[in-house]
Amino acid sequence: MIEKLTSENRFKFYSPYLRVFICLYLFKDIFIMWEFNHIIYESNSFLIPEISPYLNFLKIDIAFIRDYFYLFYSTYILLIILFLLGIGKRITPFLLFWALGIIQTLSWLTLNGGDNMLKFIVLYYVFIDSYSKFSLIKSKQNGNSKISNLLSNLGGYSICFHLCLVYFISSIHKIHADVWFNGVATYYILISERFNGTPLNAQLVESGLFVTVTTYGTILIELAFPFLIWNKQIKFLLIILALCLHLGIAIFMMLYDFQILFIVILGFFITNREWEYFSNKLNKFMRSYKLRLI
Amino acid sequence: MFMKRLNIYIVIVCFIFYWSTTILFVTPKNYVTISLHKQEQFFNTFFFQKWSFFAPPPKYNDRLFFRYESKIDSTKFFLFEVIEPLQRRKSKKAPFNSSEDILDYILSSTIMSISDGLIAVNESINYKISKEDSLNIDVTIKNRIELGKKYIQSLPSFRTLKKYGAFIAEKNNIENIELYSMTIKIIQVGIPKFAFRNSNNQKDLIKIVFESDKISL
Repeated sequence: MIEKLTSENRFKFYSPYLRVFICLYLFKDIFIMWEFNHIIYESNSFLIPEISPYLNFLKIDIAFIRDYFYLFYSTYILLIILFLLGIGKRITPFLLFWALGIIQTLSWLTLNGGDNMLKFIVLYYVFIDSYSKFSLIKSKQNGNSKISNLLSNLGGYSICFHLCLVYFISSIHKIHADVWFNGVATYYILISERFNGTPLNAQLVESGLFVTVTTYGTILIELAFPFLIWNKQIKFLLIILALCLHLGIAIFMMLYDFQILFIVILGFFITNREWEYFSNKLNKFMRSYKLRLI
Repeated sequence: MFMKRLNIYIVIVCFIFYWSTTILFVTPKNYVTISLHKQEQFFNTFFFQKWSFFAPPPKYNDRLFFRYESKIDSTKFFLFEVIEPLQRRKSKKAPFNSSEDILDYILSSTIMSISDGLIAVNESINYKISKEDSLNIDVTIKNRIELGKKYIQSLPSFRTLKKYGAFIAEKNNIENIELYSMTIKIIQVGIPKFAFRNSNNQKDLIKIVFESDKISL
């Protein structure tokens, strides 16, 4: 077991892609929130912040961050850029985790499960060696590679475990709620004004069969995923089912970025060898497509 | 060689410790987590997480009213409901609705935090009744409402709504706002039960969740 964890970085192929995705996701958040900066982050904000452990630990008052918000925000943006370029391997994601914690405290009312998950992924990236691609400073293989592989693999598996934990905890809470237990929960969600993503929602929930299948289907996927995803024979079936679940939530409930993040995390369950196989297939397809174009 | 091996074991022990505590404190409340309440609070300081997505799902739609009443003439007032038009805009503009989405998160999370606060106050009164002689405690609904109101009006969420109220007044060009007092009211409009989804006779299930005191802006 220890030999397996120390011999190679088992997330070498996919982790650089997720790192780039995280950076783009954070940039997207900055871009979207920009017009709300004055009401969310700055000193005249109408959000009353909760106590921030990330600032308390450093003995910094939250009002100080708000007063010098753009200075702090510039540092935060710089950290994202450094992380994107792979500069400052472990220290950059750690500082980014801290800065993200502060940003999330300031904007606590706008957070969803995706933001919560994102914070943990950034923390796990302190340990993951994702610098074989898209990095100005490439990873070196030196005498400490065994411990580096171990940290990287445990960080990578932590992302997988965390997703499994999310599904499992979510499913046991659902089973405990009467409308989930009785197979009618998706009716209430899809018809509610907050999550009424398409004009189709109202028509879909008219069907009792649709409501029952989607309610129990959601519980079944969330409950089965953490245990069966480790089985090679059915891994891809579960990934496809989880993908469909998240796409459904994104489209019908308007929870876009939250679901895209979860979809992207699913890629961590695919091994280097499987990714290389898909990548070769895709390259071959692209080459033949180009030839056909000529 | 020995040091390398030791380092590997230290890393693995830390990993196991982290995951054991995470699993322990993320699971629903149970005997062990309640016994380790102090440790749980410390864990949540940095690693807070909540994964009970839509359990239970919403069974109502929220309404948030801001009423600005003249201090001189109480028959003169302005009334605004902010949730319904926002949700309509959000659905209409999907998937390019990020601005509406952010505002929706702010208002809905605030409302949720107020509802949770009221439940907490009520539970705390019930707990006191079970612990002490109920004759010494004022358990009337009126007192529960007053205590709930007092508690809610001290919360950051309420102060956020108050600031938002000032923003709404400004946006709607209410002049001389100091001459008005503001009241915030939260209402829940129930979603018809699944069994009655096709029935036209279903009455609107309206419930007042909270009504603030008159506040000067």
